[in-house]
Amino acid sequence: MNEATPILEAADVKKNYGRGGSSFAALKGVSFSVEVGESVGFIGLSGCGKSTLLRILAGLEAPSSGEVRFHGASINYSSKPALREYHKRVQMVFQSPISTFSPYMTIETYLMEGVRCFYGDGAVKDGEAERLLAQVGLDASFLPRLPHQLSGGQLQRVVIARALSLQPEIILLDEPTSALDILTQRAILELLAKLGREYGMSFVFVGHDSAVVRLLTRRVFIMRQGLFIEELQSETMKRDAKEEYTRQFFP
Amino acid sequence: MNIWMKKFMGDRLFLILLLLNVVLVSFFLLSPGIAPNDPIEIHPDLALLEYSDDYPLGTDQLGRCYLSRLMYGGKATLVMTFGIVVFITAAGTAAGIMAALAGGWAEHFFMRFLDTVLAIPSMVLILVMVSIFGNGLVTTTFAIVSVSWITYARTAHSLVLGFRDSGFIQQARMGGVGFLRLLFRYVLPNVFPQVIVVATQDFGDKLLLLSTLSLLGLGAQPPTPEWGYMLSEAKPFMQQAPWLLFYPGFLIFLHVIMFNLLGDRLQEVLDPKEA
Repeated sequence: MNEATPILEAADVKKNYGRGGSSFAALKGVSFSVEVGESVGFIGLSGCGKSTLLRILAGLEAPSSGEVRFHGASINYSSKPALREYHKRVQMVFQSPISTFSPYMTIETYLMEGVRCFYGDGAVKDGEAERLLAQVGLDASFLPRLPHQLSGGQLQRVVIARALSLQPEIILLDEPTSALDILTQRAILELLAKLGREYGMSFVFVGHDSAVVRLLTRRVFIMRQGLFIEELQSETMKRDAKEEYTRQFFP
Repeated sequence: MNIWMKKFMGDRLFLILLLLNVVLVSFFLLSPGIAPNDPIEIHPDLALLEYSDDYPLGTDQLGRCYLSRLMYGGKATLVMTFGIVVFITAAGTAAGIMAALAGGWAEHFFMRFLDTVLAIPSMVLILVMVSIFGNGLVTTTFAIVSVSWITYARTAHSLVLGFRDSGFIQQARMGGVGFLRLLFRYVLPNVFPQVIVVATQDFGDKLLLLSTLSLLGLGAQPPTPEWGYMLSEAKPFMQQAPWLLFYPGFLIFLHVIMFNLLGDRLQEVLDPKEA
């Protein structure tokens, strides 16, 4: 593997839903790359295609055309073993924390599910679940609980802890703080930034709040109607934004 | 003890209802060993006795021990009803889940097939089957099973559709969860509580349906004792011996109400949000 090879690349990715006259193009050809250890963000209004793009990057949907490469190798969406290997190294945090949990599964089972399914029961070490929870600021008393016994912020921390359990190289974040209050939002973002620094992990962060996206990313792509219309540095995006559409994200 | 076992063991009302149901059903299942008399032995000279030491609940129009007939009849009724409910629950739920997980054309064709069968009144289908294969408890049971599993298939299908694209299923796919684990750890726990509640409540409906068919002369045939058939036999003696109608009617009512109460309580126990 070449040092300079991006960890994740999308090349002219398109996605159409439906057929014939009722066909809808959610993505009209997007290209970008993420370097190892780098974090990028996608900002756009609802329906611009950012969640679709994230689902394609996560391997949950195949693109209609174009290519997604991980460490330079094209992702084979039709191969379950290939996707399984990919998911050991790429994890996703979904928008609504409560929908990410089966209501009948305890936090402990949920936390270790990835390790157990990818590497077998023997790979689940004693005390690992407690250690993962501690990483995200929760104690072991949460382990036997069911999801409805936790708040939204606590659930999102558990989701992040589960993603970390597999020690992925990149985590895809689909508006992970949009369902949370402002204080919890800040705590989660600081936690992610800290974990990113500690583990040298990359993030792809989707959102529509520029202030939130900026906190975690170095580069930002502005999306509109299935296309990237601008690429900006997070620190200076407010100053450098050229499009009128982009400026509406900076109040 | 896991969280669900704790919930079951901690719910006193559920345990009481479960115990009452088990005792009630066991009493009838053990009937061959404890019934005081032969349920089909005829004593014309003892017909329509109200009470005696030898016949604690009297005799029917042919002088047969009514308590023994109720006990043997209970066994036949409950075994058949239980068999019907278990089979239609398992088969219907499995079919509905598989259709929802398969998606695409397989799901589409399967659901349209169910719609087509559902468009025909179930009683008409049952009567057609019984007229083809003949009267009797086995034929009636087969006919009820043939039309009743569809309700469970539709219920399970719609339940799975409700969470098929939800975050936890997608995350399971990203978490290396295989098909069998997805089925048993993610899908079934989210379908089973609702389906099992429908099944316990349906137990009463199926018991009534089986009894109704016997009452119409399509189910159990003489001299087999069965509660619905016993009601049918007792009709001409309503004025003379009203207890002949009362006892089987009351037992049907008792079982229907007991299983409904158990189903209602089970629904609350299986709700993860209930403390």
